[in-house]
Amino acid sequence: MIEIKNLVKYFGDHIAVDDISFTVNQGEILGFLGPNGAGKTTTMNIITGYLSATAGTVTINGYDILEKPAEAKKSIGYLPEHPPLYLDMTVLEYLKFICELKKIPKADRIRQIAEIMRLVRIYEVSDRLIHNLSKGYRQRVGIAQALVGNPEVLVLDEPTVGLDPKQIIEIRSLIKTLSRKHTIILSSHILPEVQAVCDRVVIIHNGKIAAIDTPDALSHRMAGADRLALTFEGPYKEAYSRLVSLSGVLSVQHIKEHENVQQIHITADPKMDVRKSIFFLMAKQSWPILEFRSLDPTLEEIFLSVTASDEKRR
Amino acid sequence: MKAIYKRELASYFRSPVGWIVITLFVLLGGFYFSFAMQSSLSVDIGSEILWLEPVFFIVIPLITMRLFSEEKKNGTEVLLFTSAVPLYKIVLGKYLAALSLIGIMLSSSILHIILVAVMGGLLNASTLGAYIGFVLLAAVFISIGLMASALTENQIIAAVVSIVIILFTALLSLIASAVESIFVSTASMSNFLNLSSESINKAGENIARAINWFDPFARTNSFSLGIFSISPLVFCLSQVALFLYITYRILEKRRWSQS
Repeated sequence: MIEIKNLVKYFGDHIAVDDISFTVNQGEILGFLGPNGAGKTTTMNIITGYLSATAGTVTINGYDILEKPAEAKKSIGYLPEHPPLYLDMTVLEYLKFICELKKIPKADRIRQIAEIMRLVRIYEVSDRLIHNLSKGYRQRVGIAQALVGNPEVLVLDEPTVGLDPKQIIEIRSLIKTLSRKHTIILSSHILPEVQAVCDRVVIIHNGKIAAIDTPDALSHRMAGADRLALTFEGPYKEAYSRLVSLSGVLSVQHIKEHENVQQIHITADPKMDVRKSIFFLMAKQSWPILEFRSLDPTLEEIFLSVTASDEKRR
Repeated sequence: MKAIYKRELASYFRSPVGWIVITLFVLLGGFYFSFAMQSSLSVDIGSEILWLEPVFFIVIPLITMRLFSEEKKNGTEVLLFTSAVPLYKIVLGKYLAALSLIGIMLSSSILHIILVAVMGGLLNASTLGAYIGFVLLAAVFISIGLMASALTENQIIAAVVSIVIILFTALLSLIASAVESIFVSTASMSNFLNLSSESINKAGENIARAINWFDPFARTNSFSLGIFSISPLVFCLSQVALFLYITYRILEKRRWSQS
């Protein structure tokens, strides 16, 4: 469906995208994960034909984006980082303009706009100026714009950034719905988001691909330790010495203390499940457990482990 | 291209720009018309149109400055450049929208023509010629303004660049005679190539003529005299083509740029 080969983009001396290759299969949601400035947006701009690469090729549906731009661009809907909205138009006027721009047959336009507005739920604001819309609505109008013409490929650059939690959940479920009919490339710097939505994840760091895998496999590749967060009531010093003497506990870190309530992070050997022994220890000492959960690896940790394991392999 | 043309033309009337431009033209035109009515019994529409040509200094920057700069600033250019519409059609669509606004503005003077016709005044070839000259000049200046707008994401800078270029072309005849006199005086003083004063004068004249060659005002003047010739037409259209091509290349280059 989408084939990216040896993509390189220089900005002056700075290399923004450094020899990236991957393919996206039909009907797949591919997550593009990386910190700010990793090269996500640049790569997406190249895929959609907004920028041209220094070297390498992008093929969409068999059409090269440089050789056959009109054909390739027809099958892409793009939501850039900043939704490309004309603030002086109403939502309806704007979507009509997009229909004209994408050469949707006149007879089809109203039906298609109505369908999209229902899907992304902007019906109630259709007659309002985009200028007066909130960030969440603007983002949805941006997604609506990408959906016009029912393109086979959707490229969404940080679709949930700047939205409130309720809107984020809505947009995520919308993306899930869309994946039934579209191939989607989605970028994000939020790990749980990518885990929640994507079939496959490309981790990009300093313009290079650090890893390509399914979200589950990536967590498995997380070499090293399990991390647990524990909150209990009791004395820290004594708890510390008893915890570290448990087999399987590698280290204990004190986060904070408040009226004899301790918050600590425990690093444990992943080969042994230390949770039971911690529970019984706490119970025996009558230190009530107030909270006990495993810590999600942060993006930084994934990077560290992925790049570290890459180096090990070499 | 039609979509971009329609949106652009409509946006002139969504913002005050379209209305300001037309109001300015109607006011100034009406001012001239009523004064001419008072001072003589008949009004020469051709000279009214010619008299109105300086509105270009304000009108052209006003209607061209945001064409590309605003798209860049708001990020909407991504939408256009990733659409299946080829770049030259985007440039043409915007160009024609601005030109159409000038057409709408100019057509407000039809009222004056009707009045003159009803009163039995003079309407002749030079009237038509003045209109053609006006449109040709506008066509050239809009292409310059469009280019200025593609250069920057700052509308003010775009406006200043186009004002400077338009003023420069308006002053070309003055510049030409200044260059001529400077050349003649320095050449005769420094005994340049031991030329006779006659040939120095001749050379000076030719330099002035070469500079004047680029003057679109002088070129289109012949139309308002009722002389219809092909050369000013070719001159203006090729200038338009040149500046539109430069605009196209500026936008195309940005896509490839590495800075």
